[in-house]
Amino acid sequence: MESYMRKTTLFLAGALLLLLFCPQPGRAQATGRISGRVTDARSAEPIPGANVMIVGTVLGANSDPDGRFSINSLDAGSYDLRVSAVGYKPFLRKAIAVSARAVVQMAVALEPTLIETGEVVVTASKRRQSIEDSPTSVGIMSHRDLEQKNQVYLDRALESASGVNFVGGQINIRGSSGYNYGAGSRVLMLIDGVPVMPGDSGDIKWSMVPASQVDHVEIVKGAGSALYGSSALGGVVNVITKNAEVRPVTHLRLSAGFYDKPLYAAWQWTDRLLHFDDIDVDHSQRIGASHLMLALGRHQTTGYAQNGWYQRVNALCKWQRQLSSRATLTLSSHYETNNNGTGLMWRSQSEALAVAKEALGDRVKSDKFGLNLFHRWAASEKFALNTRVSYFRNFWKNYFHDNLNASQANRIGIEVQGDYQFSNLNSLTFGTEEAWDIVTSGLVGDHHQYVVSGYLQNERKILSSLSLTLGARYDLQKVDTGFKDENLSPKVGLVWHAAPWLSLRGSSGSGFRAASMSERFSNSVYSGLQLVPNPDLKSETAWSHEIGANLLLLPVLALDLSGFRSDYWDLIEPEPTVTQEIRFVNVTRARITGLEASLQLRPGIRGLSLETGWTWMDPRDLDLDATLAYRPRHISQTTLLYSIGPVEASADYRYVARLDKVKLYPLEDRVAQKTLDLHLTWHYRQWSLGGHVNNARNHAHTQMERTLQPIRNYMLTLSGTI
Amino acid sequence: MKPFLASALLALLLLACNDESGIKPPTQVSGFSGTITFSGAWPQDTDQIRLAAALKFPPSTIADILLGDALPTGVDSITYTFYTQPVTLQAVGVVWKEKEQAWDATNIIGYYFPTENHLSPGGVTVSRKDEIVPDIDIACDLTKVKRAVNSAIGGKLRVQGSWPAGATKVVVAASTAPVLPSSLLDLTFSFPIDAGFDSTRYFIPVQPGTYKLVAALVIEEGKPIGMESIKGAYYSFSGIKIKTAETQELGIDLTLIFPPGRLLAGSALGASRRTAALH
Repeated sequence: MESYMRKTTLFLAGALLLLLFCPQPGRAQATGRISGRVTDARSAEPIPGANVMIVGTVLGANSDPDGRFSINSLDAGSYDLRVSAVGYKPFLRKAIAVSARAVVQMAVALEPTLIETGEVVVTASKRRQSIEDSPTSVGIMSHRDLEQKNQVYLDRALESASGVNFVGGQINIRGSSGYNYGAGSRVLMLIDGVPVMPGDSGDIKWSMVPASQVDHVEIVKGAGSALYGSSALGGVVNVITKNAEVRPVTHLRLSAGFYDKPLYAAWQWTDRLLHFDDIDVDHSQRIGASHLMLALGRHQTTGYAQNGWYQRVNALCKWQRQLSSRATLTLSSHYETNNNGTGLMWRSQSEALAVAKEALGDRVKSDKFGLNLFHRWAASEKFALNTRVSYFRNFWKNYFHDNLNASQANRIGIEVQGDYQFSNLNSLTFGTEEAWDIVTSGLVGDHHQYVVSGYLQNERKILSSLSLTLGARYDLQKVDTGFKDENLSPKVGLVWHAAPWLSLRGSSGSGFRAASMSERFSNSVYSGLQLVPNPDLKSETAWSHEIGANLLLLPVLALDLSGFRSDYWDLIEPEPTVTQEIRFVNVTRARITGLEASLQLRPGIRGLSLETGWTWMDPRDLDLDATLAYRPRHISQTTLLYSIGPVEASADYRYVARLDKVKLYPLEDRVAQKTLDLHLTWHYRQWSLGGHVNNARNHAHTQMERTLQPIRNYMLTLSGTI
Repeated sequence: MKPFLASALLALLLLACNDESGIKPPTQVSGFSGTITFSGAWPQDTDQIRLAAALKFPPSTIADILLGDALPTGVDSITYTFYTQPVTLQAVGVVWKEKEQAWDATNIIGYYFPTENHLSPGGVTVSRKDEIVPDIDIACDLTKVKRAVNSAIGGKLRVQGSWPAGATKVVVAASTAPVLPSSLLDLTFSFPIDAGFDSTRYFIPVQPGTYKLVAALVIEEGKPIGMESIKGAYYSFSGIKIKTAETQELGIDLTLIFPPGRLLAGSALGASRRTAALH
């Protein structure tokens, strides 16, 4: 392992030097350029963020806030240009003749559609593609959706995504995760394509990047290990942070609010007004040939429940530089410092917002820091090389009445990915990824592990309207104890654009999750329970299958339907040993089958839209021939939005069925989760003033036992651009 | 602006209507209540005590135990109410936790005994959602606390004959009582072992002291635990001496005899003292 570390350190240092100081080769031969402006065909307003691609190449660009774009270094020849933007019909111009040393100017006027189609995603295939071309279901939460939901952190916002629910803070995509005590996640989280799962706990830290610093979120449903490796057992959440803008601009968001009284007087644990406030500011500035974006946020609350307070500061920095006409370098970092109270469970159902007396004053202090270097070099029109070097550090220390554990997890990763576009009918994505986790922890001891992997994916149009995707990834994990685990994760996908109004998709893919260090090595007393290690834990594995159809039934109505089945083997669960200690073991064989439907309706009444999703699941524990614990049978989300002039009103309703089975306190009351959030926003020039009521009906429910979800709260938000 | 006035009115209407279909404080409470009395001095290293109710006795895993809230320490007696949904409990006791150690469900300092038979714990049945079963009184002996030690008694368990059809678990208990134990509190138990083995090992973490009896009890479905549960035993007049918290006697082998012959006749029934590793 040490030799791997030395080699890796040298390799990383070399790669960094290469990226930073190697001059990017200029083009030997004279080239041309396609430039232009993307506008709304009706209003003539510029469309920022439109996706501009040269068909059959790896070259492309996004339009800037003025709608302008430029694609440089094109060899003389004929090109097809495709432009797409959310809410507009895609634009295709064929056979654009480009000459050496010439600039082709294009005016692209996009026709608006009532239904939002044409989203471009990067997560499903590790390259830019239209969402309709993805063989697996992908959900998108756009920046506008995030603004509309007005949630400070992504976990609350993602509750509104179709097929997603949370149990005890752990994300479930189509029931994949259940609840595994915060040790490891069956959904992989990426920030700008880089995994950010701490090596010790292997779970997701949702407070790392507040929603205000996020451009959009992509949610890939089903096993995604064929491209992403460990943890992508049930899906992938890729958080794409805001990019620097080309002109100096400052965004400000201020919000404050307070919690209502609990529904029942018996639950009131204090006479104080319980409140929260958030300040977020970001600034973009051009510095020479570079673009820089700095974002800062401060978030604090008293909490609605005893010990529910927190004080957090987040920072995000993104620096982008065009090294040459075909090479870009992006350096980004995110940081969070957090001090929060913690109370695992309520004192009793009679005092549901109070924590156990002995836990009063328990708190956790934590710091998270991520640094990513991304280099993209289009070596030719057909081939691009993407290099990511990343560092992620997570530190936490418990100040509990019975526990002063601390842990520090460092993760170093490097990924080199090639995109080869043989033609507009055939593309190849391939790469290699290495990661080192080094952990020093009072809970798991001092350990390190190493993962090396390689992946390959080919997407080919076998008919003009039928695409086939084949791919596989190999992962080798080595732990310092000598434990070794190998996983091969293949996938196959088909997309058939059967008619302009109908796309059909089908996919099968395998996934796995290597045990986290806390599952493998925990050897400590935690919450009064003795945890004992199991260093030889195998990886959990899964196969996900899906068929789906996307139907544009009317210009105002779109429907997406899918049926899915996921089989799981060796799910890792905590089990009491015969000596009444807790040990994580590979136990459960499970299967989840289900149906999912989402509907988008824009009836043409100005500003009115309805989006709704429903997921039905049958989660089975095949070993016990029983329902799988912590999975609901039904999940549903609905957003109704109405806007007129400068005023916008919206309502979000979420329903998660009562959990049929739980493990910790099965005798206690359980109910369905029903949450209604109301929003009213007034836009004036570049400013917005919003009033929000979350959990407007004050419905009292838990995600898991003994943890009441937020009670009704009122919030005012002021946001704008300076 | 009419639609927005309508929206605002609708929102106010919604706000006026709380949704009371969710979790609510229990209006009907069920459980059991009683008084806990303490004898002996409170140990300095007491972290917590809690009421523990066992769905099965002896409990096989912590999933078989309902643990109550922390109870006051340093007192002579307390009255308590333990809230639970309607349920049948096979045993109720008070479990003691040492500072900086994990919970040990066998570290019981007092059981609920409804009769003079203190070798079998009393069960409690909460049958209705509005029922608090009264008088579940527990006498705790603080001299019976068990601290985390490395000292132990252990050995092999062998089987002679055929297992009874209803046998589920085997527990091995060691007693410091001068003759025969008169209470469960005189016994230190091993963790339960699944029945059905031909041969296996047992291990009882024990406090320093002299143990005169080591007995293997077979738990049978639907049968109460009592003297008839003992299917193999070792008895020594001089006793097994565990001198320090590091002493381990790991050669106390027992044979489970089905059906049992004589109990405790002579120095041992189905028992042999093979080796002893002393520290």
